[in-house]
Amino acid sequence: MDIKKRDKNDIVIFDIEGEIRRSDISEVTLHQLVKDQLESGKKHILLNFEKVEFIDSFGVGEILASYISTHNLGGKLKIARISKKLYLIFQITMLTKVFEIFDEEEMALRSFGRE
Amino acid sequence: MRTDRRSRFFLRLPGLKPGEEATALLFFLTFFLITASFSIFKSIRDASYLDELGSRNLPLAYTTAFFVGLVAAFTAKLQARVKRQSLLVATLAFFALTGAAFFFLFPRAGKWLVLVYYVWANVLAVVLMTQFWIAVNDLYNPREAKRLIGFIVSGGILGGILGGLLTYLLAEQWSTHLLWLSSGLLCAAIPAVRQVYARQRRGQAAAPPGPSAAPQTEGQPVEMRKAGFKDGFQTVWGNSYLRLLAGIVFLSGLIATFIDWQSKHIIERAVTGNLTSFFGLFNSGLLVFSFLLQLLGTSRIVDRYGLRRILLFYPVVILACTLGILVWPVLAAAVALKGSEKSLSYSVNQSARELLYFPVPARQKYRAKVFIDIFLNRLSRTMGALLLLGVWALPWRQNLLKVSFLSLLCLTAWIGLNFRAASEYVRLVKEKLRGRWDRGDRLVEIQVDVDFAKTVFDLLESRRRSPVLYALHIYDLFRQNKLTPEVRALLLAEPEDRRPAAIGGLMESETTGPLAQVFSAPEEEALKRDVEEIMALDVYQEVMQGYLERTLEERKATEAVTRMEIAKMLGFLPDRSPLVLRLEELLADDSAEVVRYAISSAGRSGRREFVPELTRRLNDPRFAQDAAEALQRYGAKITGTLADLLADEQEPLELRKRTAVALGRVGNQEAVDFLLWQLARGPEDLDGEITDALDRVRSGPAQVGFDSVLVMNMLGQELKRYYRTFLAEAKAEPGALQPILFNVFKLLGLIYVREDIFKAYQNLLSGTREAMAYALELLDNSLSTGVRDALFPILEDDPLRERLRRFRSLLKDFPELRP
Repeated sequence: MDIKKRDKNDIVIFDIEGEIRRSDISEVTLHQLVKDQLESGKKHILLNFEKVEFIDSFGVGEILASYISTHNLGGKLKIARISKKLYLIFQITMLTKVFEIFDEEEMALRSFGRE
Repeated sequence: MRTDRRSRFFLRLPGLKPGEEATALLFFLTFFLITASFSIFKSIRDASYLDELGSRNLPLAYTTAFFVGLVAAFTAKLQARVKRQSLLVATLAFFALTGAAFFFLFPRAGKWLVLVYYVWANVLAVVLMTQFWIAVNDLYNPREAKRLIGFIVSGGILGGILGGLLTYLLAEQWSTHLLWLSSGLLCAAIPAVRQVYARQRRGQAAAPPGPSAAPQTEGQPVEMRKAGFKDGFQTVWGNSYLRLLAGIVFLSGLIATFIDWQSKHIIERAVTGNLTSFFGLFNSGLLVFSFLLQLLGTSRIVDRYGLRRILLFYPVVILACTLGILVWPVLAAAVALKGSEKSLSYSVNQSARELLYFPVPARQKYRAKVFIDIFLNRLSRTMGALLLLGVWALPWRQNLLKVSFLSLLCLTAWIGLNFRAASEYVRLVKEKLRGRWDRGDRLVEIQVDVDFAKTVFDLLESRRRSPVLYALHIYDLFRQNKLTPEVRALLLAEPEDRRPAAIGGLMESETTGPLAQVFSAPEEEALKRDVEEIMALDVYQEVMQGYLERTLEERKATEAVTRMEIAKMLGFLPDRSPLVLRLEELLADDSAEVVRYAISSAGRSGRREFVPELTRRLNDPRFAQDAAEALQRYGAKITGTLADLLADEQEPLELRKRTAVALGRVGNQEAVDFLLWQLARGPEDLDGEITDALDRVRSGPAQVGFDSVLVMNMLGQELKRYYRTFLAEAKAEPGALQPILFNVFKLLGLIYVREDIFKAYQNLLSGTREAMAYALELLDNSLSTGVRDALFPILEDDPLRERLRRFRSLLKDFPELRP
């Protein structure tokens, strides 16, 4: 898994690439990266899954932990460009009711702007 | 009035029912005349043979039995071509004329005529008896036969007594003039036979068409007309049951030959006076014994002890008498042996043997009887004679002892075959009965996967309501491994224009077409695992807790479909998840749909916290079924709670009834024990539901035991309830009695083979006359004596007065019921 960070206005965008799985944990997890941003005062986080090939329950746990941390600090964490399969999992687990999920990054960024 | 009085008189005769008197009496009379005549012919036959040729030449006479078989087979061919009535009348006339002809031949001919006469008398016996019993078989079904054969056989026995007594009294003075008397008796039987068939024709003309019409007798189907010896042999050879019957008849024929020789050998040495007179008295005496046995016992014995024991009774008695001959070879022992052989063969054995034929289809029966009764029976006598000669040829001089040992050997084999025949008989009677229907709920369970069907319907319903609910249903199918190709096809069948081309479309429109594409990937297991793991995550629980709080606290602002989604999803969470407890709120939701989903998920969770609400919902007709299914998912751990609820008299009756149903669904041993205990405890208001719940368990695959003592107690109570209800409303409406009778059969099904009991019940309820008869026959052979005595007065078609009498008598003196 490879995570790159971009900033756009006051929104932090994480471009995730590869597979997010328990067996492939790097020293710095997604959750840790999000927490770092939150601690630095950034409260609008967008996770871009365009180049994510696979995500397991550990990966979903990372996303959820990131969501909780953001939410607890009054921030917003949104998701863009997830695969059909992940979307189905989100539907089954009703996470579509919790997360704001966007088809395009632009739409997600605009939604931050409206708030 | 006269007719009524006459009917009442005849009805006092054992087994007769209104409408049956005339035909039964005509059969009685015909058999009376035939056997009276034969008894005279037979006494002359035996005495003249011993006088002229002696017992040492008896095997020669026995070997002629084969010739008798051939003649009989020839007449059987005629029987297949000529109408029954014409053949029987012509046969009677033929033997009457030829019998009289012997009067003129005896003084002119030498010793050889005795042998001719011997053969002639045997041909008469076999041809007339077979034709007569085929006529009886054609006219009656097994139940009727069981009741009436005893009465008809009594006619034959009485005739034999009369013929024997006349021979005894007149033999000295009349000598061969007796032949005129016996020919006259045969002539007198002709009008009786004509009357039987005339009555039958009138009956058939009056009877409505359909399966319950009386069996065919006169106009035989084409294939039956072709029947002869070869057909008879092929029929018997191709059917294991008929082979068994053939074996029994063959062995009994061998044994009868040995007994005949043993007894005549001793009689020849012991009797010094007129042998014809002796045989007349002997035949008469043994038939008096037979008649008393018949009048006092045969029907009752057959009814009470069933076919199995009856089939063994006869050979066991013969076995004992043969042992007697071995020990004490005197006239008394010979008379006892021959007497028991003849008297029991005319009464108990005749009834049992005729009964054995009833499960055989009419066409096969006809062909088999021709072969077995006419040919094989004769052949066995010839074989018996050859065996006698063979045994005599052995170096040991004591012929009587050798024959007695041979007889014992055959008796042992005969007993073995009778055992097998009785078992096969019951199997065939069962086969005759078709199970008409099964429990509706079991049928649905077997043929339909209810859970699956409900999920598919909910899935389709949710398709346009909510993509999340839709996805949850699909996941439900994943979990059950029931996303079948048919369901996939159903999901993919969504019109093209509704299918978003990209994920954006999926998210914007929230329609579900692409989901089906995902399902088509062979990743179901991985998906299932992912979802389970995600739901088990603490962070997931934490996130969803917040969501649930927000959503459920603002319930009024939330759409019902959202609460349905939550209710469904909570059913997939791990049991230990605290989030599952939110179902309590949803179980009390205003929306019936939400409650239904919540009930289902509560059942999946198996958590005790939901039990009060689920049991409360049992009392709500809208949710009773769902609640019962949910409680069933709890399995054994819910039994105690349901048992308490059922026993609590403070609870509404309807709730307790549904609780009984729920306990039946749980269906474990504890549930069964409690249901039985509650059934015994009362009140009667719950009997129907409890009995049905027990029957449900019995009809299922669960291996549970039913306390037979308790069941028999309850059976007794239900039977008495039936009698009392009937007596209270003498014109008892079948509607009032039917539920009680149904309960009786359900209770019987707990102890006996349920399939047999219900086959019998269903055929009694809605079967044809024949099916009802077979149903009673099956019960007769399945139930214990006490149960039969208590149940059959309800099932048998007795006149009202008789039923009332029997019910009153049973209430006073109820039989002990044992399984």
